[in-house]
Amino acid sequence: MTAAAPLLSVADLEVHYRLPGHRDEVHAVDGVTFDILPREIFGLIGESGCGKSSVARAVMRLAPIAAGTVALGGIGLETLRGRGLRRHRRRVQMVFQDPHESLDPRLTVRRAVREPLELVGGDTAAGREARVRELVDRVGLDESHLDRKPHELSGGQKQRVNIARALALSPELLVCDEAVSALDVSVRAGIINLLLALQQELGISVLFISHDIGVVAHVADRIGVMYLGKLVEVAAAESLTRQPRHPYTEALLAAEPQARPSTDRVVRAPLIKGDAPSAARPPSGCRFRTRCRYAVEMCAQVEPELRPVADGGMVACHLADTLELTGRRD
Amino acid sequence: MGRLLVSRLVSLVPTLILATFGVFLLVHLAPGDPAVALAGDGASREQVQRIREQEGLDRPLVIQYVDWVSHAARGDLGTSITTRSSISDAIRQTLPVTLQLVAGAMVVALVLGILAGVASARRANTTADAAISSAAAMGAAVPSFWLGLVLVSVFALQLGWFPATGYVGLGTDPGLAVRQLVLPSIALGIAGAAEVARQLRAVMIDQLSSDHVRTLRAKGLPARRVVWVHALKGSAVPLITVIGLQVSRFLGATVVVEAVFGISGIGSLVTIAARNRDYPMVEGVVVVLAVLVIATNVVVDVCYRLVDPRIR
Amino acid sequence: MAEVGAGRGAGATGGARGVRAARSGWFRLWLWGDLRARVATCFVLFALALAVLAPLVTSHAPSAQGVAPFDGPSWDHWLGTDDLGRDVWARLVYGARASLTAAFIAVGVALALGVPVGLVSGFRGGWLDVVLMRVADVLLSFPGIVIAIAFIAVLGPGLVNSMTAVGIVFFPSVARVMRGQVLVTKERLYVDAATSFGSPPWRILVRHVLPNSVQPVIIQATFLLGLAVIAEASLSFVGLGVQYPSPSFGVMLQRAAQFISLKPSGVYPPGLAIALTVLAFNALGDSLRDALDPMTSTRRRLRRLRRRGSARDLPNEEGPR
Repeated sequence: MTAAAPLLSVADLEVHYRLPGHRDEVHAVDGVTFDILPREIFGLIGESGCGKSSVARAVMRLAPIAAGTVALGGIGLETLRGRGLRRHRRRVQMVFQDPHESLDPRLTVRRAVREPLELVGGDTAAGREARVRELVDRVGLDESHLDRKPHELSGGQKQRVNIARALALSPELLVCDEAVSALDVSVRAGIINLLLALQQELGISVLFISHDIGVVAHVADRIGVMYLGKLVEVAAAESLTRQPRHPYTEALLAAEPQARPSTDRVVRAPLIKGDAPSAARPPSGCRFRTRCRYAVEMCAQVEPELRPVADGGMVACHLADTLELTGRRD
Repeated sequence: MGRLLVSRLVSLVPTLILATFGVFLLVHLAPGDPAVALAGDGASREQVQRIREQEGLDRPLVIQYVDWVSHAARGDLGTSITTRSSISDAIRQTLPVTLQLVAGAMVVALVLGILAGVASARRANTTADAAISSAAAMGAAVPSFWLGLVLVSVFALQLGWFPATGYVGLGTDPGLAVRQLVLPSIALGIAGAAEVARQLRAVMIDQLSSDHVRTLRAKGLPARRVVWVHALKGSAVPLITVIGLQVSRFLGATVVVEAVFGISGIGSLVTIAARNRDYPMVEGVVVVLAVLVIATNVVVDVCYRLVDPRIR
Repeated sequence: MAEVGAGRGAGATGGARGVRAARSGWFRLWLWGDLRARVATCFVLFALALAVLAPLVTSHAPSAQGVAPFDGPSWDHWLGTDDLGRDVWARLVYGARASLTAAFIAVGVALALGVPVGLVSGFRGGWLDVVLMRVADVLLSFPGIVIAIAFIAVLGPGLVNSMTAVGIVFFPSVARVMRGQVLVTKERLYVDAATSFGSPPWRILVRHVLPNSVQPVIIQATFLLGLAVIAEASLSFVGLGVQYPSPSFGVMLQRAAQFISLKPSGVYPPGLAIALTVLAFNALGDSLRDALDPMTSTRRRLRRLRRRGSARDLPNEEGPR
């Protein structure tokens, strides 16, 4: 933990959805607390349905915040509305998962990237044009792309446009919600490297969300692991991968595909049994206990809290001090 | 079933109020002063004022509406500006005529439509089907009253098979009345037949390729029975929907068809009233038609439940 | 660092991109690819041209009365003359001008009213949407021409008045179609993206939702043009639309009907003109609709039937041919 004031401070965040036809609400995010420091890349991983996208949308104020606070540079975002909210929106920008759907099919690249600038105003048309060119160039596209429409671009190119557009307003925090998951594997590396380079260059913070622990481990400085609406572990990327403290993290690492010839691969039994329980009715006590191979009786009775551990990380597990979990082998 | 009917009727009250109030509002917000129209040309200011008070035209609009509704419920729709006689009487004389015409058109639409629909469904994707479908498309595009004119021109004037104009009513002379109804019914009903044929064809094609029908066939039932009894029964619900829609369409098209054939129905009544700016008459007719349309919807709903008890 | 051109990419993305390319160049593809569309467009353009260039197309004035009424076609009078010796072709061409203008007025009014109502209703949702759509449903269930007549009784007869009334009758269906598409479009991710830059809702509505929701409305408007032509003809026929002696399809039909015993063939020129115009608009609308949604359900059904053998063979044969 450094002494620097965090850029983003999320405390006890809750996001609820009501499914059509159901009476109960689903707590997609059920009390999540974490900070993101300036110039930091914070990764958020978990299975589908764990609530990580909902965290992203809540931070972006695209989903209603049922409880808790989201503070950006000290200013609480959860209570803002109308013009006040719009003014703060530009400080947090998002790169969405679907590169195609997030672009208006009728707008050219130039117009799409220019739109945020037009909203803010305060510049001449020439100034905006210059900025658009600068952004487009920075993400690795060239002039010929400016007048193309989304359907004339490849997936990777579209995502670059999305990144350019997201950076147009010089945000302090960039939220990447599965930004590379929809792209071909061969294209992902390019986008990831672009994001890393931009983060270095611009000094922004990034909230990087993915279900792919390999990607997140490569990209992030610190990582948060979510399961069924709660954070189960937060740690620096390196220590998380080398020495996970939560059984779920261990299982995620074990399930990672190994990029080795099959003869060299280590065969491991899957560390998770069964399917994820329904988010509408989470298990009592520790939510992961139904699939955890280390679970004991206490796990069913008392829900573990996210507590700090020795090397600066946080874990939510009753057995955190006693378990010796295996991380990545390489 | 009775309870369903009552609840259905009750839910239609707001629609009825909306429709009648809408018409009332429209007519009473019209430019021009109804009191002046009632008083006639050359009336003095005092005469107009007297009439205004007499007719209660100086009261708030809502009160006038309630008053009008209470009269209407008792069968009194007011007095026509032009003829100065009872509107209800005029409607009572003309509405049956229109209803007979609409009934005739319905017969045409059903008979032709079902025959064409079934025929084209059974021969789906052949030239016969294409021919029938094109005929249906043309039938839908041709306005009823032009078709009426063509029919008069050919069958009445040139061939002399049917009378060209006029209608005596089934009460007076059934034989002549039926002959007089043939051409107008065809003119009015063809567009409906085209629509019925189109919808029925689509549904029948589904039916004929359904597992249910193939099972029946496999059991050895004759084709004719399968098509006409079972497949048709399965198509009943969309068929009823389409027929219900045609009623509203016929009531509209009758306005012009009556003009073509010189039939004194409710369509002619409202057209002449509109030409003469006879607001109360227009009001009365529109309301009666609104009630008819709403009643048709109720009947259609009832038929749904009769045909398919599963429908809630 | 930039990706090499739009041609690369794994098969799936390439295929999807092909479809998307087709969908955006749809206008061009449709026009050159579909015979029906081409014929219909040609006819509509031809009719429009006739109407606009009326004085150049015929040397006769539509109101010039002549000495030989009820003449048949001749070199001087291509379609003959009417009851007052006027040239039928001239009246038809000038009548086209009136009838087409009428149709555009009606559809213009319907769009002017229906698009904003549909936009707001769909975008805002909530009770406003429910109420508006219920009212629209009620209006749509009544015979339109009767409602139009009620409006005309209030506004007075004439081309503009009657067609405005028709436009008012049409607007609920436009609003419905617009609202339906807005409901879909407002859930799109690029709308979220616009919100995230701080775009106010009205701007999102106008800049993003409206342009992407307008296609079905255009199709609907095309069909309404056909209906409007019929509406003009009907209303003019009963004396509530275009007023005689100004020519329009409806007015011509009315006069021809009056003298039908003297010249039965007089009803054909205006009637055919109406039918062809309506057919053209309908065909245009149909092919526009197909261009946007090639997988219409009827076609799917027919494909299924074709595989099993036609329906006619069902009672007798077993299995596919």
